[in-house]
Amino acid sequence: MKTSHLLVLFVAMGAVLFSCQKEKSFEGDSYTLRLIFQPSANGEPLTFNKDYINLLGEDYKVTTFKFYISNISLLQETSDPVARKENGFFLVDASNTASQVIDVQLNAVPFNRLMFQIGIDSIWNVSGAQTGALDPMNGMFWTWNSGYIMAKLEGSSSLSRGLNNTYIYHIGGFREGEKTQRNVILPLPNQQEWILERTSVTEMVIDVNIDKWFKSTHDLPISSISENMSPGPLSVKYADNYANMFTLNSVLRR
Amino acid sequence: MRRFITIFSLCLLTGGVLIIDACNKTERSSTTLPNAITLEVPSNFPQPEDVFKDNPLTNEGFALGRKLFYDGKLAKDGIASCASCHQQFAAFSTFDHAFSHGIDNQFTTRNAPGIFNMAWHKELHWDGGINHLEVQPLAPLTAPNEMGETVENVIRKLNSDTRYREMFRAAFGDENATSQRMLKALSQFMGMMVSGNAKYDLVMRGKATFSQAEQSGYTIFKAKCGACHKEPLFTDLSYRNTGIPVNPGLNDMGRMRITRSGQDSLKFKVPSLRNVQVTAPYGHDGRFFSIGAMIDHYRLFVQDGPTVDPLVKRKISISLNEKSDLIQFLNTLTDTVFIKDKRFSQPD
Repeated sequence: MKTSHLLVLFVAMGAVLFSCQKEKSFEGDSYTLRLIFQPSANGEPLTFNKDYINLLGEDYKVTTFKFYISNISLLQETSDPVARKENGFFLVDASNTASQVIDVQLNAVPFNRLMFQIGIDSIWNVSGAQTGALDPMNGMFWTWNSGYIMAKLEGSSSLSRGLNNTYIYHIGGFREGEKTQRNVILPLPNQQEWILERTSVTEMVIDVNIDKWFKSTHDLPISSISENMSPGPLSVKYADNYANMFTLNSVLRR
Repeated sequence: MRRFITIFSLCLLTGGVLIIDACNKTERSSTTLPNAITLEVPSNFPQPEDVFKDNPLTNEGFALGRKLFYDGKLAKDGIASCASCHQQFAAFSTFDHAFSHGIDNQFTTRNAPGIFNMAWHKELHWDGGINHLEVQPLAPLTAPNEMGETVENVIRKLNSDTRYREMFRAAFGDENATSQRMLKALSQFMGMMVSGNAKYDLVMRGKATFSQAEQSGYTIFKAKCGACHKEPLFTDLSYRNTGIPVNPGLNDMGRMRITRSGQDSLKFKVPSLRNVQVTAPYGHDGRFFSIGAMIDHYRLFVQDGPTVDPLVKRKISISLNEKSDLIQFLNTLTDTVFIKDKRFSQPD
């Protein structure tokens, strides 16, 4: 009787302890994965205000380039993640080198592909004031039409019909039919299997090719579109394109 | 043995409580916890939206929100505050102005709506572009023709003010001012503004009776206005085109700006008629300067168009006698308790 009483208490304690861990849905030790995003244009590291030619043959300069990364995951056989960073939001800003290096703790399970999302899940677009990477102070939140700007590219081109030849693309939209979140899946070179280790940091260098912003799935010439600053069909097209900007350059242990 | 088990059990329970407390994500480092307050829901009201789910209402949070609401420091010019355009005696609309004044003698392009019963609204603004009360203040704070400031600057100003730092500590545990805390505090202050003590409410609760004219006006109201201006909030929170011709100077397409659907062209959120007597002028661009002019619009001037609401398409037949009684009834929606409530007035 008394022993069973104790048992009940232990079980209750266990339940309390377990409930604390509700957000950790993957078991096992977790080690560091470091993603390094390297913005590039014309096959070289991006330099602001330098002249480039996009895949449509248009000249362009870049003054601002930012995008959100979230839901960093590891994949093995299926598209169901074997490890995933829940509610991790990162704002990558081409003007801030530190923001381009993202460290996440993930479980040590074999994987052969990396997956992440460009943008912010719908729920965080409708849940009131947020902080950290999602702080509206970062200038990535539409104040007149609540929702996050998933990616932002600004600059100029001699072909732009915008004010002072500038172009401004603020891409967002989270509602059904106008979603701009995109999953990117990057296989490891030669389909090799990898596992995170305690003694080293796995570092993946990811090239972010801005040329594809203007032409990949869709042709989006600067000469015909110099501005997009709201959700809608055009934002969706830019999202289709920015999903193609990413390639895995190298994977190594440090 | 029995005593040992009792003590052991107590230890376990205490441990459990500590662990439960450790699970609580919002860390509070201050020794005195803020004092919880609750949203008053009038007995004739439905349950509100879950606006405060991640924002526990406290005296300290509310007090901070109140100070912020009345502080011109938030604007670029150091003068324009939320309260400049949302005046308590006008049920937190702008008294006698179609458009409100922003910084540098600029005007807004829509009539400032009153602020009350916000906790019942899922979407805000005439076009419903704002999807949560907490993020609403970002719009006037950053609009170049309203307060014209950047969020970054506002937060910098707050962090360099000792009084604010104290208040952030009292409300949130440490003195760091962040945009999230500022917005949650403002949300507490505005969300607590409940207007449910008008004569109408007293009648509904059996504590007063309508005059004969008011009663007649109420009957007319229910038959001819109540479908959109639904009781007890006096809005069904929907978006409708009421046949107000587009103002060519503004070319404001309303809800369509948010949904980009042609079906939403010229639709605006149905405004609450609570406190309507003190919130003149009326309409999204404030073109109707009296309740009578507004009613006359529905009686005589509705301009039909593809998205005009079927309920007003053929105008609304209201006789002059009915109009007079209707106004008598609408005046019973004035909540003097609310517009004189010291909790919502400018802090000392």
